[in-house]
Amino acid sequence: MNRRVVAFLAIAALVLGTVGVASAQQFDWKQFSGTKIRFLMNQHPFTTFIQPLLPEFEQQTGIQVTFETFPEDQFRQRRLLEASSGADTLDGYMIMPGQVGAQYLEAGWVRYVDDFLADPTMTDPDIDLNDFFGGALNTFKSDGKVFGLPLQNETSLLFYRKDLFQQAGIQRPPQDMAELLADAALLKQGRVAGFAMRGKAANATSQIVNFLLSFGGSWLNEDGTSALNSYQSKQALAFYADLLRDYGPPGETNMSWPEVTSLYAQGQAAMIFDANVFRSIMEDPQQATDVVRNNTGYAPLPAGPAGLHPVVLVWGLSVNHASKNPGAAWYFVQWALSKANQEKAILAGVPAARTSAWQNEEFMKTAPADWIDASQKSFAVGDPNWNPPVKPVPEVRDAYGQAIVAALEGKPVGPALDQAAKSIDQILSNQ
Amino acid sequence: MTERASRFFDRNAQWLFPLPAVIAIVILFVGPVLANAYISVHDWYIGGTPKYIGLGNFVRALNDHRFWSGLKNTFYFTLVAVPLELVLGLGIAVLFNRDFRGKGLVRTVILLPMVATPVAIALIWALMFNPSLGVMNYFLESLGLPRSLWVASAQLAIPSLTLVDIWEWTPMVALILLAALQGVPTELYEAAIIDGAGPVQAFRFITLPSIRSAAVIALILRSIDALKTFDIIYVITQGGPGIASETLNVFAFKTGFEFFRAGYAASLLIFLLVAVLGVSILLNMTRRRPA
Repeated sequence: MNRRVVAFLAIAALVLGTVGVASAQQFDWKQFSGTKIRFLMNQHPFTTFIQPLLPEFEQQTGIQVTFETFPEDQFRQRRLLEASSGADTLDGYMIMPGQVGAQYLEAGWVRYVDDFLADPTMTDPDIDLNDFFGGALNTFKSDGKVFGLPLQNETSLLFYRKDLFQQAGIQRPPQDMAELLADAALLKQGRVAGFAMRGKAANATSQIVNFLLSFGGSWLNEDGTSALNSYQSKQALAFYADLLRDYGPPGETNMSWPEVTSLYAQGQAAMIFDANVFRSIMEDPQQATDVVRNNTGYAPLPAGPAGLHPVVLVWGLSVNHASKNPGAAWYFVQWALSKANQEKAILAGVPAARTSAWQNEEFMKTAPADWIDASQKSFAVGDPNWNPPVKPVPEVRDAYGQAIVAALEGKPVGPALDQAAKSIDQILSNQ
Repeated sequence: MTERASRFFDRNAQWLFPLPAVIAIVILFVGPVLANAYISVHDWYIGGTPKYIGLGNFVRALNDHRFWSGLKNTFYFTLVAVPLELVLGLGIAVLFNRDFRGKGLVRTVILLPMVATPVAIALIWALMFNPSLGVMNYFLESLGLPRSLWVASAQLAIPSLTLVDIWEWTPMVALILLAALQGVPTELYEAAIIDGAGPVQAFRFITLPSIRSAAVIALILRSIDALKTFDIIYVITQGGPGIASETLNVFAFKTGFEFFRAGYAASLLIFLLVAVLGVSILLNMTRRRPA
C-alpha cells in the first residue's frame, strides 16, 4: 500500500468512527432523569399557561421542575438577588433582554448555550431555530452567541378607526410618516383627537423609540455615547411633538398606556400607536364602546425616512450562570419552547415567538387578519432595543423622557435633546 | 436557682421591662437611620460595590437642579395643603361641635377619605383628573367654566395634587380639633356672654386659645406627613409632567429604587430628614411658648 491509500483509509476510518460515535450518542430526553431544577418566573400569561403542562415534561424527561412565581416587580428583584449572589440552586429564569440584557450579560449572569447547540446529545434535533421570528431570536444573541430562547414577542401597532377613515375619505392606513401627519389632520374633529400616543416622560420612550429608529436615529453612537442629540433624533422628536401638539388629545404629558388605550376605547381618538396586545382592550365590551369594537383596524408603524424599524419586546427563558444542572435547565427551555408547546401557547393567548405557531389555523380564526399580518411584519424586522442597550436603563429613559415632555410643552427640541444627551453621557460615565 | 433569678429580675426590673421596646426601636429606627447615613457617604450603584466618597453625594445634590426643584416642590406642596387643611378642619370641627340629627353618621362618613387605601384613592383621582375622560372637567363644564389640564399641566400639577391631600387629610385635622373643642368648658362661654362678648369675640378669645395646643399638634403631624408625601404624588403624576411635581421624596425614591443609585438617594433623604426635623422643631417651639 502506498502512503496515499493509508492516509485515505485512515481518514475513512476516522470519519466512520465519528459517525459511529455520533449515532451511539443521540439526543435523549431521559438523559437527566432524576434531576431537580428550579426556575424563577414572572407572573405572566406564559407562566399560567405552561405550569399545568409541567407533569408532561416530568414524564418525558424524568426531570422535576419547580417554579417560583412572583408579580413582575418582586420577580425582578428576586432574580437580581439570586443571579447576583451566584446561587447554584437557581437553574433558570424568565428574562426580557431588552430590559436587563446589558446588565445581565455584562455581569455574566446568563449562561451562553452555544456549546449545547453544537452538541447533538444536548440539543433536540427538531429545535429549528429558524422557526423563531428574526427579531425575537436576535434579542437573545450577543456578538453572535446565544443566551436563551424567546417565548413571546410583542410589538406596537397603529390602531385606527375604519369608520372615521371612511368618513374622512382616507383610503388606507398611513404608509409613511407624511401620510400619518396628513391623516391625523383630517381625522381631528372637535374633541376627538386625530392621533394619540404616550407622552408621560420615561413611560413614553418605549413607543417613541419606534419613531427614533424609523427616522434613522439610535440610542447610542459607536463609541457608546448618547446619540439622542443627532440630527435624526431631533427630526424624530420634532415630528412626534408637532403631531401630538397639533392633532393629539389634551394632557399628553401625563399619558401612559392606560390613558392612551382608554381614550381610544372610548372613541376619543381616531388613531393610536401602542402595544399590539392591547387589542384585548379594544375587543372587550366592558372597556370599549361598540363602535370602537366594530371598526378597529390594525397596521404596522408607518415607515419613516429610514424605513420600517419597529421595536419588539421579547420575553424568553435563560439558563442561570451558576446552575448546577445547566443541561437539565436547557432541556426544559427546549421543551417549553418547542414547536408543539409554542402552538399551544398562542392558542392560550401568549403571542408566541415561533412563526409556525402564528400559522396555526385555529389561532388565525381568533384574531383579525390585519392584526396578525401587521404583527408578523413587525416581528420579522423587529429591533430588540426598545430600551437603551445599557445598564442604567431607567435613568437613561428618564433623561430622554424629560426631553419628550419639554418638546410636548412646546419648548425647542434641539436644546432639550442636547441636554438629554449630556445627562445620559454623565449617567453612563458613572455607573 | 429560681430564687436567684427572681432576685435578679427584681433588682433590674427598671431596665429589663423597657428592654424589648428599646431593642425594637434600635432595630426599627436607629439601625436604618445609621445605615442610611453610612450609605449616604458612599457611591453605590446597586449591584456594584460601594465606594467611599465622603460628602460627594451631598455636594452633588447641592449642584443638582433637580434637587432644588424637588425641595421647592416639597415645600410648595406642604405650604398650600397644610394651612388649607387646618382652616377647613377647624370649620368642620366647629360645625360638628354642636348637636344636630345624624351627627354620628356624618362624623363617620367624613372620616372615610382618611381610612381608604391611599393608592386606591390616588388611582381614582388620576382618573378624575384625566382631561379627556375625567369627571373633574365635566364638573367644570357644567358650571360653565373652561376645561382644565389638571395634573397634566406643569403649572397646575402641584395645586391639583394638594386638592387630593386636602380631601384625604382634612378629616384628621377636624378630628383632632373636635376633640380639643369638646374639652373647652362651657362655663367660659357662659361667662363671656354675660360679659357681653359676641360669637366672634368668643371664638377669637376663648375657642382659639383653648385649642391652640391641639392645633399646633395637628399642624406638626400634617406638616411632617405632607413634607414626606409619596403615595398620591407617585401614583398620580410620578413627579411629572417632567419634574414639575417631583418632590424630594419622589426624587429620592426614583434615584434609589429606579435608578439604583443608593448612595445618592440616601443623601437626598438626609436632606429631607433635616427639613422635616427642622420644621417640626420650629413648630414645636411655638407650642411651648406661653400663649
